[in-house]
Amino acid sequence: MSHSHSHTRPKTPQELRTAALETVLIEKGLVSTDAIDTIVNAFQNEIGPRNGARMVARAWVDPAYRERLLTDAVAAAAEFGYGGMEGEQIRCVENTPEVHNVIVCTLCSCYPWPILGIPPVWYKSPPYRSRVVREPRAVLDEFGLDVPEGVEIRVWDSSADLRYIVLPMRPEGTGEMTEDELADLVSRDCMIGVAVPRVGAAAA
Amino acid sequence: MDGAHDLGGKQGYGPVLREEDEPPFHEPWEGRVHGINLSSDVGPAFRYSIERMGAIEYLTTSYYEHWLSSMELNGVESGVFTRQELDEAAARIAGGEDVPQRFDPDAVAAARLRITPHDEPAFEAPPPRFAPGDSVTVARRSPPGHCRCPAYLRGAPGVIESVHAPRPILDIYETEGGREVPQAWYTVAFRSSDLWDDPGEEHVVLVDLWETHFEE
Repeated sequence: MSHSHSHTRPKTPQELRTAALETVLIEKGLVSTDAIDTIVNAFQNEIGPRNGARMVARAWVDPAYRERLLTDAVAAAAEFGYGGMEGEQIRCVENTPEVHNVIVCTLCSCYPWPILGIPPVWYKSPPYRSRVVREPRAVLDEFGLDVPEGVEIRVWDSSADLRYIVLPMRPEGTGEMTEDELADLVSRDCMIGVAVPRVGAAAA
Repeated sequence: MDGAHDLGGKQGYGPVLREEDEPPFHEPWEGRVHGINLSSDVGPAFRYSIERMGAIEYLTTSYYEHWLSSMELNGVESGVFTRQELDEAAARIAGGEDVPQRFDPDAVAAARLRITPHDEPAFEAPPPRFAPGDSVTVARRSPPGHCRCPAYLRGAPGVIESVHAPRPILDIYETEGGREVPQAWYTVAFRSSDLWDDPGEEHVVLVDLWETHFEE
């Protein structure tokens, strides 16, 4: 475990404020260096959109798992060992030929951390939060996603304790792929709903 | 409160700017802020403290600066530390002192538990007043404290999509020092044409609201 942060001189105001906050809490015994390191390392190395992609791929190959994912996503995540803060309540919403789902948090930046990791900056930014509830087709178009006319768009605004993940449709031509190969098709953006999985596209 | 954070439906913020191969944390201090927040408890008003940053500062600072401001204000208001203690620590660090270290296996175990599956408490509350399919109207209220009902819904007609097991309403929890008032809450479906007058837009917005947020 690296503690090099302690020996780097803070340069920016943000670094100085962070160091001051950590110092005060450490001196009061209210936080520990190794607990902070544990969280940082977990979000850098273990917790990310690959978790959600594994769940999606499993749902594509295992109808019973898909059913569990759609009825109790917290339990479905726990089957993989995923869960905890900001994932205490999760709902999985399924894309179909008739419905396309997209998730947002207009008031803050709520996001299912245990299965998608830290949200990207654009998800937390005013343009996405202000616009996707009001003009989702224009926003999806900027992401290069053209949702056919006639497909209903459902925008889920995570305003309370429930976090959302989109279950995208399995693309055509993937019948021979293994679960791991399928997971490679499922990017973070597919599970937010601003992209759909495509064969030949690497997961972002 | 009607703060700059309540962004849904607001116009003029421009295109969504994306970054390829974005790391979880852009700077080490962002990771520290994330780690401090998830492994400590400086008070119950995390979001309400962000919302009181002031509109200009909120819109011109990053996500983790919001967190930093929140933890500073939340900790001061909760009596965990004082502004003076923060300032003195900053002066010592600026003067060349290192951030002290403290190692605590129990704190590590607690941090681990927070980021792995764990049981959630159940809450008792009066039975829900609404059922799936019921029509509801969102109250036209603008409370001064923390509010989980986005302003773009005020006065809007919606339909209950699903009912959830009671949870403490966060409006009260964050505004009143962590007071827990469990209440039924719902996912509610709104037609975009009932929210805005944009020609040609027809989609569905689904929002999670507590019973308090509806008209009587």
